[in-house]
Amino acid sequence: MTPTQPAQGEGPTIPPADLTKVHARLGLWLYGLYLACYSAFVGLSAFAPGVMSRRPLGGLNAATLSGLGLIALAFLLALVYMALCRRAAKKAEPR
Amino acid sequence: MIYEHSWTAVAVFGVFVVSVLALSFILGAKAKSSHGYFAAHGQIHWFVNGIAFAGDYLSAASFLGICGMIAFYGYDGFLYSIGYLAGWVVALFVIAEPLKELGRFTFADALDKKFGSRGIKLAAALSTLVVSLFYLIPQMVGAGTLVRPLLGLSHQAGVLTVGVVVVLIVVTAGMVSTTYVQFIKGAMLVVFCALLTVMILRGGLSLDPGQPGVPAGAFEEVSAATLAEIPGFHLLQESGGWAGKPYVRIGREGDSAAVSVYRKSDPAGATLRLCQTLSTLPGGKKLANGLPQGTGPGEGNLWPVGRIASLPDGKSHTGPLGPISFLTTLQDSQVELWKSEKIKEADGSETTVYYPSITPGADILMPGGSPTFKGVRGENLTDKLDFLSLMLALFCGTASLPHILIRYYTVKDQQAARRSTVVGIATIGAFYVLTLYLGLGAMTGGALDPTNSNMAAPLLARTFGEFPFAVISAVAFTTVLGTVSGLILAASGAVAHDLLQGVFGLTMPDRGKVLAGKATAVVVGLAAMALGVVFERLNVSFLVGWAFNVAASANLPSLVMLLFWPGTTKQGITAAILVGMSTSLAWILLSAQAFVDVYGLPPERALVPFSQPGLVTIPLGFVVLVAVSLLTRPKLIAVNKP
Repeated sequence: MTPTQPAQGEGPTIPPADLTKVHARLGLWLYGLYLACYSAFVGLSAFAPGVMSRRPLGGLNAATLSGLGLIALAFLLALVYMALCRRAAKKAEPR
Repeated sequence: MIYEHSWTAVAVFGVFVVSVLALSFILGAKAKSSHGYFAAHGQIHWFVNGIAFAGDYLSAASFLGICGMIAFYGYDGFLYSIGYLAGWVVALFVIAEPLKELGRFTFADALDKKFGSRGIKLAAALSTLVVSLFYLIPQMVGAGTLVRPLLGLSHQAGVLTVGVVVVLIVVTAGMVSTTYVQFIKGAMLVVFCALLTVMILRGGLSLDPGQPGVPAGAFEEVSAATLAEIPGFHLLQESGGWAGKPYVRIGREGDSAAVSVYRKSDPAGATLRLCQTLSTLPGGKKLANGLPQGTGPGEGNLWPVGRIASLPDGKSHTGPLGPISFLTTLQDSQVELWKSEKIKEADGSETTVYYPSITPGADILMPGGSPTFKGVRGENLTDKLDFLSLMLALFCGTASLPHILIRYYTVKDQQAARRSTVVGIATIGAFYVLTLYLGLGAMTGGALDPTNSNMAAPLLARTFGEFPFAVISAVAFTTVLGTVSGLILAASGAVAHDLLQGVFGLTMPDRGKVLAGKATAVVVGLAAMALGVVFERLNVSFLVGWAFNVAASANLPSLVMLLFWPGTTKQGITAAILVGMSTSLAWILLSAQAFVDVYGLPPERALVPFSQPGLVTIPLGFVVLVAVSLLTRPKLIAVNKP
């Protein structure tokens, strides 16, 4: 692949065309992580309701905690993804 | 229940609609080219677009349906929230950026960029049309059910009002105004839901929410002995459909219609609770709680329901609660939920009994309380598969909804697409957490209509005063307006851009394309109005689940494989879209849910084992795509390995 902007200076730089690929790989990793959590949640709800009715922290049951947790996790991973993309873009910037 | 319509609501709604239309006209002057009409010139700011994502996504079904489901059944409504939000993870991490790189106007553009095939354009345009229409029906039906109590209009009038306003919005300015409508609506929805949540938490939980219209003694259990001794009443025989049911009926002397129904709290019937009834007599006359239905003197109306039956430590009210302590207190309380049962009598009259059922809070905060998800608590494997299938369809459906996909073309570049998705996720996630409180607040706030779960959120708002009620109603209306205009735009893009130009090879000047789009918007709008009237009686959440299943089955396999598998061929994509779309549609039409809700046939006669097709048809789409792609692989590939 030809870099659209020739790299200048030292250090490895990623040409913009490859940046999409870097993002895609990052995205797939984070997606895999979330998918694992979501599957665990759905699986436990369907096949182990006993686990979901426990109260691991003494207060709320696991079903409510994990539901709220999944919503928070989606937002957290989205922020992580933005941060990682920004870092990748910085690396790619010609100096 | 019969509602008295509120002039404040009418006024606030009027102001809303007029300002939205004005905005459309002003912004419409800016959008002259087709790129402006269908994709807002690609110049929408990412933050505005992010909130507009939320506006697009939080449809009437999300707002009214989920609140209502939580209010009636507890955790199960929240399951939908979790699935809907998880779908955004797929959109952000897998679909957003590559799609932004590929397309210009529509979803078909993106799929077809590599191949330039008419088959793909046709298949993608068809699936966009089908999914948009199915997603439109629940929105229009929702609009119809809303207006009746809020503005005092009929169902048809409500559907027509929404349809006309939306077509005006779409025709005047296209994607720019649609985006700003969605932005305003998304922002207002979240802000007002947050305010309502604060009010719920400050009010805390109470045994008597103090709603007007509830008869004295409605909260107490009565013993069978006292029931027999009420002066002027006598016990009725368990005849017709009442035989073998856990009810005791007492009738007033000299008035055969005036009947009060009690439900036995235990099989022996030592104690009973007062129920509510709605009866339709053979002549079409309606009775509410044994009196002619109406709000005047001598007439009967159902009273509002839903409250805490007992709090932990024997308290009668909690005072202000925090967001966590609200949930933990509810978990340790007993809640009075209302269920219903239809009873047919020998003379042809039909009675729906609404009865209180005291449910432990710990059960309410667990999956499986509603009819949709009850299989989760059972042992039957196919019921559990149905649940898995719906959760899979929700997960995969979001990233395949055409009106969500086109929103990626309204921003400048991939970074803006990414940022706006993150804003969207934050807004939608926050909203779904708020709906949990709104739903549970409605469940315990004493203002529920036992006959209509969709009204839970507006009725909850009414307990805090006429103004919050007016605003929430107006926001609910704009919710319908916004989602419907987004869908109509997606459909009109599919017809004007993909079908007319791409498939039939009609060459149009830029202005002609915009005109064709607008003409399509009018036609699709008319179709949506007609469907909204025809499907009046259909369950709204059933239709939304349908749209998600079809979208995921038809669109997701081709989107994902195109982006990640170089061996994908144009025949593979076309086949996957058509097979995914038709099999998921056929599966739904043959399912037990459709047999009961659409054809009125017994569910045992259904031809497929469970109601949600996603678990079968999404993988099928992938299999078809790979198989057809392998069969139609280009024969000559010159590969010279060194």
